[in-house]
Amino acid sequence: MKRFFSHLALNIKMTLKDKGSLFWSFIYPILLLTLMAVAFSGLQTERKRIAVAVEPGHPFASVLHQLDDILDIKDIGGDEALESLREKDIDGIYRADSVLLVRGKGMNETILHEIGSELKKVSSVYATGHFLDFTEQYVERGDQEQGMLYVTLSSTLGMFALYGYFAGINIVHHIQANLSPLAARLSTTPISRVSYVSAGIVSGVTTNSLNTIAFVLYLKWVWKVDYLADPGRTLLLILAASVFGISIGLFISASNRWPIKAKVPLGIAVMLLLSAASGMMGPPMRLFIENNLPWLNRYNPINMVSRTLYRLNVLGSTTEFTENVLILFVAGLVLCVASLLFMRKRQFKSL
Amino acid sequence: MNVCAMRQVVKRYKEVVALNHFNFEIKEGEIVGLLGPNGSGKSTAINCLLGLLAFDEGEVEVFGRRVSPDDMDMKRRIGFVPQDLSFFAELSVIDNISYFAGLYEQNNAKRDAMVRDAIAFVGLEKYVKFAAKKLSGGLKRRLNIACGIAHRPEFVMFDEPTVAVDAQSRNFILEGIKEMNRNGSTVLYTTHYLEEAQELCDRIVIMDEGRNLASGTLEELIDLVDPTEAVHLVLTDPTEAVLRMIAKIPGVVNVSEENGKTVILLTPPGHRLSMLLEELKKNEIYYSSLYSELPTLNDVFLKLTGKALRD
Repeated sequence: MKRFFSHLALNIKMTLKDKGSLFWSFIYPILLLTLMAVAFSGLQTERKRIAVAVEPGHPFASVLHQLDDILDIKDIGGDEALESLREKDIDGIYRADSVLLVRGKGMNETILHEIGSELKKVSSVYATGHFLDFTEQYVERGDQEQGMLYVTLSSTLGMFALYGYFAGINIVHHIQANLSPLAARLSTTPISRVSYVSAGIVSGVTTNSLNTIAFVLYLKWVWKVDYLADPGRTLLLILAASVFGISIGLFISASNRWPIKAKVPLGIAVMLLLSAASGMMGPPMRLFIENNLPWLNRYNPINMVSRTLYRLNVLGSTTEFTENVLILFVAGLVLCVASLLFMRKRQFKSL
Repeated sequence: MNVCAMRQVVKRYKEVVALNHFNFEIKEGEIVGLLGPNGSGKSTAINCLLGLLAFDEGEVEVFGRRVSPDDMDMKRRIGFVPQDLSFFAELSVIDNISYFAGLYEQNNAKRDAMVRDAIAFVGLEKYVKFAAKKLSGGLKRRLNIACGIAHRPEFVMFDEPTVAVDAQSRNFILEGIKEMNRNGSTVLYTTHYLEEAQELCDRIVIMDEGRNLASGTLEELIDLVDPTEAVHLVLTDPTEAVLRMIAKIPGVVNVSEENGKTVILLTPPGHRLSMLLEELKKNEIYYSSLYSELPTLNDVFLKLTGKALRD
């Protein structure tokens, strides 16, 4: 245990003293979040309610009517609704058969899509025999803001929540003899790999979670963008994302001999792509992916985190929260075990 | 007693044979120099001894036990100073040494004593709070050594520890290694610098292309390849008769003329010069200048490994 704390202290000291890593893991995210907040908060204030038709007989018409601060509902259907859609008087139609028709790909359509998918989930609960209490607000909003700002910031936060990847890469780089001279040297000492890796995981998860919480607080206090509407679940989600991020870093680092100079840019590139797919560059990309490659965003870890963040804090919904948090934790655990299996080898064919 | 031994060790990297039935051993208390050109297999041999590299054939033993990467007891007794600077660049000198010492010793008081000794040993007292990355090249080398020897190992392997180090630092390091040896550590030292091996080592092993070409003390190696001492004379009367007379002196194996000087080869080296001078005096052979040239490790090395350039 004493050695575990010695490794932990080493990792924390290295994190605090490495100015390069401090910049990329803390300063750069703050700068990027600031840039996005500046860019999108202007759009946010100008946003109007979304005009949408709800066909008579829609199973959740009453729920939709409760969202009057987001939706400007027209109770029309059939040809009249289609004509309004063509004339761009409305952005979408919630048909009585639960199908959502939209005019194109944009912010409003994304929000309508989100609400529609929430309602489908509720509908599936109903189908399993549960009775719905329509006096309860299934989609709560309170005073929260929503829209493009939240979609982009959620994706960006999702990306930063997975930045533990880089800590994971470093841990293995320090302990697997065929990856660096320092690792070769440490492998000649009576070091316990499990202890070293565990300390690295604890340090990495803690640091990354604290960073992400700091970003959330920064957005709340400086930009009045609230990601703490459901603080308990949000923190648990951030923790799960950090565990997953560090585990994927461990796995990528332990499973091959690519140099660290390849693994780091690879991580950056993949995370940017996944963040873009999740809506960091704006909702149209996310909508495009969800329409054409739905499986990608379903299992895109950044989208899982950002979607859950958005639902928790913007829509006030816990849909998919448990499922996504469990997936992230379990996948993280599996990747950790797989990484340790890769790292069990102590003699190498070459160094 | 052997501290380590490699017997008939073969290590291949695909088609390249890095160790070719390599044999080698070190006895307790020795300082053994492992010399060889670039790519001769020195680092491969050390990595096999450390249990880092898997080998294809043969046996490797340290402290009488087959090397195993899981043998923590063996790891506690050895120290390793790698060729590459291998420490945590962001951490201070004292944090680095303390961390490495802590891998071996959990008692804080004992560990702190080890750290103090190691810092004094490498002369880094003035730099303990400096971040490792901010040290000069020579100081980094010293820190690299301190991290490998702080736990007072019984057997230390130095893999070219003085590469790119100035003469003062190099001298400091060599003196430190001698002191470690006096304090009971057995040392394996690989280097490119032949004068270091000549100065430091009790025994030298010369290897090339993965094979042990020769091993022994400096004198034994010299006897093995070039057992002559060259005496250069400027004779006042270098006639044929005088040269014939010199050639008959006991110990003289050859007499020749080179650039106006007479070169006499004596054997065994280092033992026959006074006898030669007495014989010259007895035979009234006079000379205006004289110098003697003993064979060096460099001569032995080049003779054994060849003069062709290596990668």
